[in-house]
Amino acid sequence: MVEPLPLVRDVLDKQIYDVNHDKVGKVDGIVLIPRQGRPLRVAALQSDMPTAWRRVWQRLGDWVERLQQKLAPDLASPTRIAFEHVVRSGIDVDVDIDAKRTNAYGWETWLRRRFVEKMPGGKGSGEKGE
Amino acid sequence: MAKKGNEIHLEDLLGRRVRDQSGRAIGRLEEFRARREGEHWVVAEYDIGPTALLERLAVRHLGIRWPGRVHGYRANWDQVDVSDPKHPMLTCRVDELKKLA
Repeated sequence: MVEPLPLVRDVLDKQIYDVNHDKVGKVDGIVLIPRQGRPLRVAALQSDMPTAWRRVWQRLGDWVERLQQKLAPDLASPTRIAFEHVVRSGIDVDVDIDAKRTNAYGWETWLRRRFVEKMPGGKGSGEKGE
Repeated sequence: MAKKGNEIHLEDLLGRRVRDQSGRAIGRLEEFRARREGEHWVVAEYDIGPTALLERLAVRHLGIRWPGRVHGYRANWDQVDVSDPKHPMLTCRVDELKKLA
């Protein structure tokens, strides 16, 4: 029988790499779905700032979420990757999707457009989220 | 809030004290062991207690052990009720759980 996968040791807080071996973010949370009379289904990996901060202090996570909604409401939803896309875990977590097709780089792109590009020398490379 | 519907977040359960039916704390939830079930992954087992924490931190091979009584348990998915993530409860007796050596 295949050895079970320890979710806390081998998945939570690990770096996620996409199919192109680009960094997607860290696994800040794991979404579980309760089912009547059956074990919890491992639904998705979640990567976003409020989830990470909520683990430090619940109110801090809520505050970061409200700030995100104020700054860019369309970017406020977390990045979720269905657990079925995980192909390998351990030191890092490899997924078989292209992160550019997700909202994983939404905040990077927003920051670049709103601030970095407006600085002297800010235009140029760093097209990860494009 | 980021949560949708009836979903539970693993990070909300992690470190929660598990109590038996008499209300006695038996240890904290330290690990969630997932297995593939068809096309999905499910949480098949929970590791509870300080021994499980050592296992999770991958330091047990260094020979670190807790002296004295049993300090860790492995529970099947149906032996822990996590429907209230803040108050996980055993659904069986403690002596029915597998002991972590």
